[in-house]
Amino acid sequence: MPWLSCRQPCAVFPEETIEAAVIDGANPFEIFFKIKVPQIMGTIVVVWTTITLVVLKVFDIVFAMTNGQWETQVLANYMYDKLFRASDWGVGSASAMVIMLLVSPILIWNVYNARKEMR
Amino acid sequence: MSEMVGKKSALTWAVHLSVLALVLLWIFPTVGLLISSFRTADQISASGWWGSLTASEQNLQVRTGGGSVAVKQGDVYVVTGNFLTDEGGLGTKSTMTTFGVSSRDIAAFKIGDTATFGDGKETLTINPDGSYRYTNVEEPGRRGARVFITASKPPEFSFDNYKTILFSGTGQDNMAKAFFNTLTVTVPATIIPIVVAAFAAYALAWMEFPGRALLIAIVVGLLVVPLQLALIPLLRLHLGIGIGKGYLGVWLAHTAFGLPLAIYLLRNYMVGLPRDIIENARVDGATEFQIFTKVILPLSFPALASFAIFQFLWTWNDLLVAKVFLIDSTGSTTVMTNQIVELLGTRGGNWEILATAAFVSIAVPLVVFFAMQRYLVRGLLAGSVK
Repeated sequence: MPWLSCRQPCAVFPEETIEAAVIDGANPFEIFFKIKVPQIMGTIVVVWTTITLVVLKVFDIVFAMTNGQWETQVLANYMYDKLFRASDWGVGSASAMVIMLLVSPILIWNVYNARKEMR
Repeated sequence: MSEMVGKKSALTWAVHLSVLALVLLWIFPTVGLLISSFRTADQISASGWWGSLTASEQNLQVRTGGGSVAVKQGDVYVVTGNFLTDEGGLGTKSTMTTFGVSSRDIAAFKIGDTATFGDGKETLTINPDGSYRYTNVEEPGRRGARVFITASKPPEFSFDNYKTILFSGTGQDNMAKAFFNTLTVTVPATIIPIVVAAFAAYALAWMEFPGRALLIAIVVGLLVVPLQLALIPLLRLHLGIGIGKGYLGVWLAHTAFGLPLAIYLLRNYMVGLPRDIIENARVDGATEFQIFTKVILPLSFPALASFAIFQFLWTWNDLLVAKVFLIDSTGSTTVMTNQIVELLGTRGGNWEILATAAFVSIAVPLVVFFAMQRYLVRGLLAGSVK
């Protein structure tokens, strides 16, 4: 999914900017880093935050491979541990809230952008 | 991009190479898994899957015939047989190189030599054709003598692992039940959110009502809310209203967790449909419901299909939701992901079983993906191009 969202702006990329850069004698790397990347910066940020969110919630791989031993504990697995092994619903809820706290800046930013787009 | 301005750039090659690298990164483990699932435990421990087409050197343990087949000749008991052709032997295509009679030195003797052991009371001769002659001054025990043979075995592939996994019928190793449980979870958990989300997306895209913008903002916000946040309240709710742990609970949970993305994707797609079509339908006197079923739904098929694939893959691979809302202590409703985690514990050393289990579990997503992937790309792109 991330690469799809990255492909989409490239597919509707304005050719004029690239043509202008080529005429001005830019080499391919300059075209990529100074023309293309700045223009798709918005998409890059979206994809970046999406992946960050997915990784923040990672559970099954950690659960299956180490179960949090050897200093590989993650929030989601810690929460599962507390909920269903230690039956400590208070600490479990707290770690869920910590995950929520970590994503809330992205949430606010997302909602802000969506509202701006709709106006 | 650069073709458009008439010149192929060096960057095109960089792009092609990095795509190739990414593809190989995905293909290699999958192919390795597939090949490993057709090999035996001995083959896997002897060589990697990349060496599966060449003969592999293996250390194997066999036993001579026991006291029941021993024949007394003069002072000694003699057992004869063939390590290659006898039942439970190495197979006729193997080539033996060395053998040993003690686990401390399993390559002590060459094939053709005579080994003397057991305080000089026992001898063993193995010939290159596999036939052996074992002598013992005392009457041999019931199970015969232990022999360690280093042999090179030809490549061999079998469906034995799949038989174990799918048809063994005994508890832990059997994935067939878990496979159908996963299907039972996945199919409704894909259909229900699509139906709900299609209605919601149409309303949010084309119907004017107060609070619409706020609802859309809430959906966008819910996109990033981690599902862990809802585990405890939802589980308490399910236990409280008597659903408990079961299929109904897991369907509802998957529906709830899938809805924000479903509504968001479908609404983005439906907003992009031409306004004229919908207004024409309104002018012709169609009700909102008719517009939805006869105009919007057929046109939104690519978006519906792409979300269906997403939701299917996600529910198929899900472990956490199933563990929380479905799997109870009886274990009769276990799903495949959970079964594999349990196999990791009970059969952690048996790579052939694990590889087969993993391949059984990725087979269906692979089929779904290859069958529907053109909708996946089209639905997502069309939905996001403004």
